[in-house]
Amino acid sequence: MFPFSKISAPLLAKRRRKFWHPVVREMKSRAAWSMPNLVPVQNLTHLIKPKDRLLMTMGRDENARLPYFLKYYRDLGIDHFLFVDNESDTPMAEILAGEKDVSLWTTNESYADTRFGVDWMNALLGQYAVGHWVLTVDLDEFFVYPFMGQRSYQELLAYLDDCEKSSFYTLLVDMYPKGSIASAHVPVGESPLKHASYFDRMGYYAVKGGHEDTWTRGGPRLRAFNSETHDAAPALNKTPLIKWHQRFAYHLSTHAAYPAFLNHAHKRHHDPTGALLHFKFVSSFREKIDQAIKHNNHYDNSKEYQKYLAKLKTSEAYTLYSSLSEQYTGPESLIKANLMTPGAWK
Amino acid sequence: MKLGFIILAHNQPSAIRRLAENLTKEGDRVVIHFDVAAAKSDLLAVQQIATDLPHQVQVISKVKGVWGEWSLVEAVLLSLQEFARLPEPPAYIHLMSGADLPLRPLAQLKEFLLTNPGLDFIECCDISKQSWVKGGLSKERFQYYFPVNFKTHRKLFDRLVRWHRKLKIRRRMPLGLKPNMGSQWWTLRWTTCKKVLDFSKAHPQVPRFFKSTWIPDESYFQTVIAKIIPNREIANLQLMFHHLTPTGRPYTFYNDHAEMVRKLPHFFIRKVSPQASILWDHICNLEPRRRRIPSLKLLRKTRQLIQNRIDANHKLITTVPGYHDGWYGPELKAEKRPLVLLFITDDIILPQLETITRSIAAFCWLGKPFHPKYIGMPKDALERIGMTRESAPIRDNFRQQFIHHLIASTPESQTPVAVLSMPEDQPDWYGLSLLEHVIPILVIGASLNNLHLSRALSVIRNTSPRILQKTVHIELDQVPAALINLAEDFKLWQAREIHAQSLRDSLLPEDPQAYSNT
Repeated sequence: MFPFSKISAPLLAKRRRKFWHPVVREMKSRAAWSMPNLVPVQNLTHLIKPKDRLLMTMGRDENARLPYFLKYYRDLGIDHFLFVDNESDTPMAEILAGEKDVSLWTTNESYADTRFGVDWMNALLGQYAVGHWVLTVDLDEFFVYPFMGQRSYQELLAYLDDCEKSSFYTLLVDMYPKGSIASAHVPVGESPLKHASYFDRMGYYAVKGGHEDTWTRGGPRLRAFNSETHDAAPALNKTPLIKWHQRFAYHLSTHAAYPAFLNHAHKRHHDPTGALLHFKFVSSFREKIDQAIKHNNHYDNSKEYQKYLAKLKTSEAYTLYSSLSEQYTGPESLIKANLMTPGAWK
Repeated sequence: MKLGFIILAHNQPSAIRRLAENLTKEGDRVVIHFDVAAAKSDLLAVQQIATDLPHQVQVISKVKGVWGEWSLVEAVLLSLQEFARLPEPPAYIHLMSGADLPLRPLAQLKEFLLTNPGLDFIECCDISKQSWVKGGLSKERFQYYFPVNFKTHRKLFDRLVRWHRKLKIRRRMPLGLKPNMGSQWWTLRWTTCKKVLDFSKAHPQVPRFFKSTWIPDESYFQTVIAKIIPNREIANLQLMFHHLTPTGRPYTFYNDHAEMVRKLPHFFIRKVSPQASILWDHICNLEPRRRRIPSLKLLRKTRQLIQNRIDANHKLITTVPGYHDGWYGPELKAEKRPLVLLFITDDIILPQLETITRSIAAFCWLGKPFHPKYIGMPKDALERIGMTRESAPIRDNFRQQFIHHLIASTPESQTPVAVLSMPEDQPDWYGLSLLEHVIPILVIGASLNNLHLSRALSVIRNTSPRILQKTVHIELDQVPAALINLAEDFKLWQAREIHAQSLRDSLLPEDPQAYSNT
């Protein structure tokens, strides 16, 4: 066969070099400014092998969540973790030092000034994750996908590779306890799922966003804190799993990535989707609110946290449990409630 | 009887070793074609299999296999030549890949081949009579030239096809061959394989022609065999269960398919995920689970049945949040539960209607959900859909979804009853008319005059004529009797729905063996 690629490849490469999505270019330049401020505490990235599955996360004063977080994602099949420690009172290094699959950076940049961590994400992902499937989650988010017990994470990635997809859509599902939020105390190293195992089975609303994507809101945070209008509730659509490419960038946390096709990973009806179980509403919630209001570094001057505080103040035994709550017993319960679908991956 | 196996592989040496050890248990022979472009360490590991089992396994690595190109056929022909060198070639040759598994002991396969002698198990579909492909190029695969691969040069490939079409290029097959297509995987008698090898040697123009066709691995053997083997000796079915999904990918089996796989009557399956440990363990203890050797009819029927079920998964409509921009039409159309709408023209009779409805257990009172300023539903019903009285903006932004939630949140055993106060309430008439079982009732209250009635009717007529057609008019004092009648109807309707559901389920039985073992 005539080697067409010998002629076309350099031409195409030249064209590709020229084309960068303007938002990606902006995010990349922000990330480049942020990169020098990330100080490596433990850099083991030379241990990353070509097809390794990575995980990127960041946090502030959430050390109690770390042991179980590591255990959960190691069991899932993550080979290397990238952590960013943002001015924790007790440094994360106390727990993470010596772990052979963890690279840790620390930074004293403000969370709000770096687009809520997006700059750190783009900087580290662009440096270490190109060509890898990488999962970007917060420390209170746990990734689940259809047939999780029976099919491995590798099999999911192999299926996505086979379909030539480069991202995976998930819905952020807020979990809460049956009793009051304050009563759900999660001991260190224990699964929060035991203590907060309920979710809303309906009441999720999707609208068209301004960033060529669909924004989903709903769940207990709409029902309990924003019931008058859907516009103010936090977004629940996430694209945490991406096969990273030099020309990709996150824009608004993991809610929106660029180029925009990454956010449309679920648009054909037979595409599988997943979920992120979000364990915000446990006993540490009150501290988290106080912290967010003190540091004032969350979205829109931590307005969302002011609303939480107002509600929690009304009663010590404030609970999110209601008649549309359902207990999570496995990924099947999310599939049954139509919050997640295996699509054609059956 | 001896069998020969050709395994085409490019990775997973440990899985290939397991497979080869299993296939050679009874003295049969395996030729592994390992891709030239694969990793060197993998090739060494595969060659180790041949050194461990020197008289039964042979490893060749001569061709770089590229999807859709001649190289895949060439690899098979080269492997067949290895068999041809043997003093005593096996009676049958089975072509498989490294991701395929045997499902039954080889003794059963041999028994099956002895009971059905003189047949070649290959799918041969004459494309002039019926189409084989699910979409995309069919006869064009043989008529046009394909100098580039679709995977690497998508746009150029499409452009070339367009040019061919425009210039009306039609290549003819050499020797007057008729294009036949079918799956790449087959089980052939050795005599047939020998004939194909001889044919390829005697007519070099045929391989040359196929080198520039598209996906020749799905047509070369099929076309040649249709030419040189009498039609009655071609079984037109495969001993391996496999399926290409509507998106053109091979269907993959995972651990959770273990039960389904166990019930399959076929001798092999394709393709099994390398991490599916339960399925891979399964080949180590292939017990003769079923004594019976499957009939050709059973193999054909089960394959069709399961393929239909797999394809149905691609047409599913799911309601995962994040799909639509507030549009819930498909879900409303699919909603099978009924919704009773009571149109009233005077809110005075509202408490009366509430007491009547609440007195009948089969109904769920939803109040006035469509008031323009607020959601006038009782507290428990509001809680069930996760809203408050002030959530009207959410309702108005997601009008169809709201209707869907109204019905879906009602307890299973009850039927929702909503009141629409005419003419100020403005529900999504279009959404309501999408519902299959909407029951509109116009309640003529005590204070009603003709003007009110005509205004109410004109509102419905202007917005939704379909609902107007169905609307029945009744007096207030007739409402209890009407609702009781409706409740009786629902009981019957529910029983009928359950029956219909069980009928639908029985069309796709879980156990294919149970369906067609007779």
